[in-house]
Amino acid sequence: MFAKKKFSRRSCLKGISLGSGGLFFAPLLQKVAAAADGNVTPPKRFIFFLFSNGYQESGAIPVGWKRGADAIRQESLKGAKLPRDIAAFAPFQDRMTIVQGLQGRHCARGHAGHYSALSGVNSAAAHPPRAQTIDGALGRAFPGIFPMVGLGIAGGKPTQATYGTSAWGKGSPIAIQCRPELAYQSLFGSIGATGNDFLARKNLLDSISQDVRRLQSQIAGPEKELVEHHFGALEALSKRDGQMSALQEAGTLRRKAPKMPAKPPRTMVDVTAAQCDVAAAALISGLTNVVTITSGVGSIFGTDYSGISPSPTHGIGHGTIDPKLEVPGLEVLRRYREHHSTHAAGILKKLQATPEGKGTMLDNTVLVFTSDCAQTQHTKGDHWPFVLVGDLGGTLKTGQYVSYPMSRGGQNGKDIDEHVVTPTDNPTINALYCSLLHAAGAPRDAFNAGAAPAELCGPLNELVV
Amino acid sequence: MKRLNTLQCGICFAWIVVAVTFAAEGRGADSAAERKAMHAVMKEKCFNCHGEKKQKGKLRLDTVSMTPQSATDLAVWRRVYEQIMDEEMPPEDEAQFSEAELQKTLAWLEDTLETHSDLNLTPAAANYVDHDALFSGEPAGDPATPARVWRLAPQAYKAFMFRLSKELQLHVDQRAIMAPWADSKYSTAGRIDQAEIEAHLRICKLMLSRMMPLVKNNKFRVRSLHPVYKAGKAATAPQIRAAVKDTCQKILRQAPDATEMQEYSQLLTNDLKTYEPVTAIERFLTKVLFHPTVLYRVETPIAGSQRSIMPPRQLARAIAYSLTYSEPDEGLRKAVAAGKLSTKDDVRREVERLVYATTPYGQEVSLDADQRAKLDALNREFWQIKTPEARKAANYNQKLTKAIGGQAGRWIQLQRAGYRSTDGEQVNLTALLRPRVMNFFQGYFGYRKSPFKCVVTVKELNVIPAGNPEWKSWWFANDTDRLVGWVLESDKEVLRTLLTTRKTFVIARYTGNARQGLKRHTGQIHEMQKWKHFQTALHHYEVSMTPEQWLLGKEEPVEMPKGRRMGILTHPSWLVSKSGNFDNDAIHRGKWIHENLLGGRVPDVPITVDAKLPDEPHNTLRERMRVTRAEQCIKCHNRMDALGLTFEQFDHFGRNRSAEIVVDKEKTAKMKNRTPDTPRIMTTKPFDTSGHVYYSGDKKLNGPVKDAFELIEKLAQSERVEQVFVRHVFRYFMGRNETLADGPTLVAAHKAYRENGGSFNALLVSLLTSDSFLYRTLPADPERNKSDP
Repeated sequence: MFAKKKFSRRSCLKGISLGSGGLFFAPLLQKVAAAADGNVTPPKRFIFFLFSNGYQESGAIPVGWKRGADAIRQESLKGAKLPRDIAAFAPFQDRMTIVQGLQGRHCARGHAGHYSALSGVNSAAAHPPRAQTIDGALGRAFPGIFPMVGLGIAGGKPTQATYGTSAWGKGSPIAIQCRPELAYQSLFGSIGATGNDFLARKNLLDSISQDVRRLQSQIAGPEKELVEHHFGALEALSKRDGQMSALQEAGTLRRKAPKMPAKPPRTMVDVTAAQCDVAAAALISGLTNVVTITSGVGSIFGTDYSGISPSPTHGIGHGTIDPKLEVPGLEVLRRYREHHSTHAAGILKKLQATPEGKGTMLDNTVLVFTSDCAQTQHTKGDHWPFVLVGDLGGTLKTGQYVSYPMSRGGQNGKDIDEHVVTPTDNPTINALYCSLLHAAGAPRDAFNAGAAPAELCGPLNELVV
Repeated sequence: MKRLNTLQCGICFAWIVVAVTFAAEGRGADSAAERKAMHAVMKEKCFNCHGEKKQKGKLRLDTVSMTPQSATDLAVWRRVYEQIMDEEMPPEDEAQFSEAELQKTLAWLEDTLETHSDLNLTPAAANYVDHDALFSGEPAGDPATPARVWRLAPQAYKAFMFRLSKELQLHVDQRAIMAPWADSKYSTAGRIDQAEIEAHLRICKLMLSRMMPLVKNNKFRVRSLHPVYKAGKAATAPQIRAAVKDTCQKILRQAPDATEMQEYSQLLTNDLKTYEPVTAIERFLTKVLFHPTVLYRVETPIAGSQRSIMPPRQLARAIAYSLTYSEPDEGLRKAVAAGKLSTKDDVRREVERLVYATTPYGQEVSLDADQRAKLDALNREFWQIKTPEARKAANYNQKLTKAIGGQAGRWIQLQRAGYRSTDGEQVNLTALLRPRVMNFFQGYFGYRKSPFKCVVTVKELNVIPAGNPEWKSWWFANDTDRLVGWVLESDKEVLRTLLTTRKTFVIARYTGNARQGLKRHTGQIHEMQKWKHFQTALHHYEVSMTPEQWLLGKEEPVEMPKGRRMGILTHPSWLVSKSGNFDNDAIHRGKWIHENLLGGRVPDVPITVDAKLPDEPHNTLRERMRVTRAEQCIKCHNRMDALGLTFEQFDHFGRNRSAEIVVDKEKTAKMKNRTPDTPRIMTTKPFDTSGHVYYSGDKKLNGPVKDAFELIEKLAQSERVEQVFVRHVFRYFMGRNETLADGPTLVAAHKAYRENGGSFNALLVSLLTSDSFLYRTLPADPERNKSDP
């Protein structure tokens, strides 16, 4: 079966190179085909999965294990029973790492992290990003046709493309598409289209860009830069459509495209499922190497929990009992995370089923699963649990539970999680992102050291091989 | 090295800037020799840590252009200037500037910042242009705005699509039309990126999905497209040219120029050969919908000119989009067509028409005193009728015709369109007729910003004694909107009144809903819910009114108690907008006053500063703000905190208070089984409202104040505050920051405001007829193209 799949991928890619768009697209196709043959190093792939309302500690520790210790703990996950929140990752237990005890005091507060969660730099709501985010950095370092694909989950909201978690750099946010059917359209063309949408659109964009080019010559002030940017965006879209057109011609997009629901999904649970399908297809078809899926787009109010609970998300985060389900809010959050991890694991399974080189695409992938606002809403950022799945080509240590020093704190009530506090000299979430850059082969001394001392932001020996 | 202290420097700076500015032309402010000398000084003092080898704080200076090319370059030099002025740089353990080097460096930086001040692109940067120099009355060049584009406001984008839907009978669901971008107040701020292009393409697709069936069936209002569709590849050149011309006129409301005619015709001709006629026409229409005027305000000088008043069509759009979110109205279009929009007098005529309008174009109603009295009597009578059935039986329309004769029809039209309510004229006409004026005040005061207030803080502060579980800040923002509209209707001492009036509306109608005037009284909008909101509002405003008075009375402002409120800065909406979930935000209250009334500057928080107050809910805000008194913080925080803390007699829900409510730490710690949404046990501590005005730029303003009321009184009397207000009005309506060349425009605008008794309309007419607004230039600036040393 393995050989069959491998043959299928190879032959498919060879087929593409013989298609009418092959000449234009030849270098990329040859590269991907060679990767499938095991002749070149396959690209590294990154999936970031953010969810709202915090990640309570108990959802990120094997069942029955004790939390907190004065020193760093590194224990094998072999034989451990994962909590319900992330039980879906059990098939990948040998290649996952649970990280507890990182801090984000310098960047997290209130209900939502917005750009803070992926940049490690404090970022207020509705303000432009203050720094590059890790997905933006990796997208720049390992660009596909789409340097990064941002997919949002905005259940029950009319949101389409929006901004809120990802940025190429200061003041330069990356759009997050919250409607799966529109994300599909951008990546694979119109659903049910028989012609080559991308080629037709490319020609049209080329024509439109003439108007903008003419406009450029009439503008003198600093706005000239805007028109140049507009022109550049049209050119970039046109170039991308050209590349996509080649894939469309070769039939790759049609083959790799996910099957979308007949009716555009609107509930949180359905949107999650559809976006994860889109994400997996985008990675497998080689359209991108970096995908961010963000439930709520960095805000507690960015999505409802429709399909799980009709209660307002803010009250759920407070632990308020859901009157319909008759369970405390934190139990709803567990179900919410469980749903997300199940679909995230679905992406990983698809990658695992896709041969690449001498292994599968999963071998060169890492999934980062965490909340957009540390361990709870109204967070102070004193503890930020993470789950990493995948060893990124053997550059990340896996199969382990890593816990930086932390002590128990807060209350011990029935309905709320035990609250853990980390010392202020614990490593920051920036250190984790710096570690990812090192593991990916794009090392930096620190990632957005910012307000936190640089020594807390460097790569973590416990994670990087 | 002996240095001037910050205050001395601050005072000196204004003088230096003026001196340098006026000396600039004579001495060639930014000569290559000077830049070379300065480069040498910086190489020695700065580049070791901010150069090729090291980039401390991620700052590299040796690659930043010394003749700034962009706002980014300018921002770097501004930061350098601040760091040197604040004695932050060079660090104490590094080589210091000699006194001569220091003076030379500061002078060069000031010179550079001023010379290139047109690159100051953000509102916060605008206050760097010296206030006294701006209002000195000295001319500093010909005011004009560089030829530019300005991305349409989202409302304007939607209004365009709505107009197409209506005029072309497309019947598109308006809810499906979403603007591809958010608002950008400055022309330099609104980019169109890939995501925006894709979003616009989707809207185009939606419109086309309605247009194409009509084209096929020859029912499309652009009739000339059908012959092209029928002919396909065989379409003749005249058919195609007719289709192009007709399409542009119907969609863009303008005929294509020669280049456009050629390009569109070519595209359509070629596509008809390549694609099916439907696809070819779709692509042609998409291209038309991507015309720059659909996306931008395009503003250039007349072709062939370096500096001129904008061409009439652009001028009409500039005027319309300055005051509204709609394309030019019929009056402006007629003026363009008749060639009567090319001089300053033409513009004044049109601007005055729009600024003073109380009805949309062509719907004017003019009532004499007798008719007005009869109308008021009729409305009073009608207003007392409580049920819809009884109102219907009263036959209002017939009585209206009797009262105001032949104008009754138009009056009813106005009521139906929302420009008049059934209780007379009590609607916010500014919001309806000049929404961008309303938007200016909303943005300037920032009172519509609505920070989230969670249920815990609502309970802990016992905010809603009437028992309504919800609390919404927009109740109060709507009241402030209505108050602004009310002040603008009288148009007398507008700023002073807004800063000092004790008037407020109570649960005013939300502007923009044409039928709300009726709904309020027919009970269609959940009276019970409104009743609770009403109680909460009365509690906040500390006024009394019966539901009967409120429901059956005319919508008029009431007066809040003396010594409890004074103007917008003490309105719940403004106070809430500058507060957080759990407490007041004295820093941002002060920052707003410092920047928006005093014209001061506060540098951005350095990225290396963890700008948080200690998490001590048992302490008062003033106690927690002790951290801002640290040596490295106080220089900036003095400009804000001492102003913002004067408002401590109000809480973060905008209510007056007798003491500050803080958490009782000990009792809360003893609570058992407390969950995160269990309110903590609270206690009170006294607050302190004393403050101080520093660095106002007006000696009469500087000094201690005992509370917010004394501060506001002083601010309201200040001519400088008035001038700063004028600067903000300028920025909003010009879509850019002021430069020294705009000095005469600002002086004239302030004069118009003052001489007309504080009339905002006079100020607006002055600005919208100024050279700064009307003229566009294509400047050649060879200095900018010079290479750095």
